[in-house]
Amino acid sequence: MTSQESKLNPGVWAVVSVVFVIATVATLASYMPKSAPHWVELTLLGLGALSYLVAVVTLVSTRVFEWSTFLNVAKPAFVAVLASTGVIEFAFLYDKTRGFTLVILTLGLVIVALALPLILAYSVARHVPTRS
Amino acid sequence: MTDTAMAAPMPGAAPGGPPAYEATTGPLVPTKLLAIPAIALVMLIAGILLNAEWALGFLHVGFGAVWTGFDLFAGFMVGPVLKKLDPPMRVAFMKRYGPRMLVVMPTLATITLAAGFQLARKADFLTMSYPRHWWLVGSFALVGVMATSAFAILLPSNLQVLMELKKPQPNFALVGKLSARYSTFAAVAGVSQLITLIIMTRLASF
Repeated sequence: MTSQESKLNPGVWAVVSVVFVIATVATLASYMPKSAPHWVELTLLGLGALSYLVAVVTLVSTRVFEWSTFLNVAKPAFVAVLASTGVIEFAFLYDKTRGFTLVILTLGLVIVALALPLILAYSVARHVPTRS
Repeated sequence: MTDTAMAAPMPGAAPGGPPAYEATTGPLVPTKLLAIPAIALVMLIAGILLNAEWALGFLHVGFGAVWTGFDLFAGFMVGPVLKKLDPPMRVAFMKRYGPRMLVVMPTLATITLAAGFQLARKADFLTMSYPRHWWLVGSFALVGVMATSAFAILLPSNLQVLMELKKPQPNFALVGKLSARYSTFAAVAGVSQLITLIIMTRLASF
């Protein structure tokens, strides 16, 4: 980690986004068999999406960064995460999960599928000295 | 191959000087290890399609037991030993241990959680009324703790170590720090797993 790097780096923001998704799913499960208030789930998921966007913005605004290493890690990580989230989504569809719940769970999986490769790739690339 | 020969003292080391380091070459994870998640995912999909209680129970309990065992072993057996090893030996160990853990742990977690959710739905645990439902909420909270520590610390630490070991001149201090962090959080995950076991056995006894 460089001395210029903020403690709230892209990796931290991406972890925060995953935590919000976990909180969304936990809230949904805690209300079962009833439905959780939609505004609670939408707020938590929205905060998750917002945190992910902040992660992307802070990542893009990082001027000195080893992008080739980042992409070398992010690509296979994305494929692996996609396989896992794909199976979970398949289970939801197979269970006939429909409507608002399916939308929330699918969006949550999308955030996780995007955030995890970012966490892994950033945590590796930030320790690689830039070639320039 | 990810596994390269390295011993202490290392071949090529100058007498009295720092040991020579042989960087890891080839893919981060040996291709043959990818058969483990591939077979496990096929088993999971088959279990979901069969929707049989024994199949889902086997996947959830079997993979969950191995996951718990690995976490406890990594956190309380491997971790303390690893922290006391000389840096070259620690590096040699992590070169072989890291790729396996990188493949096996996420696989165990995915299968256990997905099969567990299916099992809970089939056994009507998800629709259980309060106060019993609190046990379920508690298990979700623990999964949250374990998932966060896995995604934020365990996986990135393991990956960072493996990437560092691919460099011609790795930062051994960083490798040591990350390995110690990995072992500590594996212990946290192991303890969380034990608490989950208490919750699961209570749920099964309702």
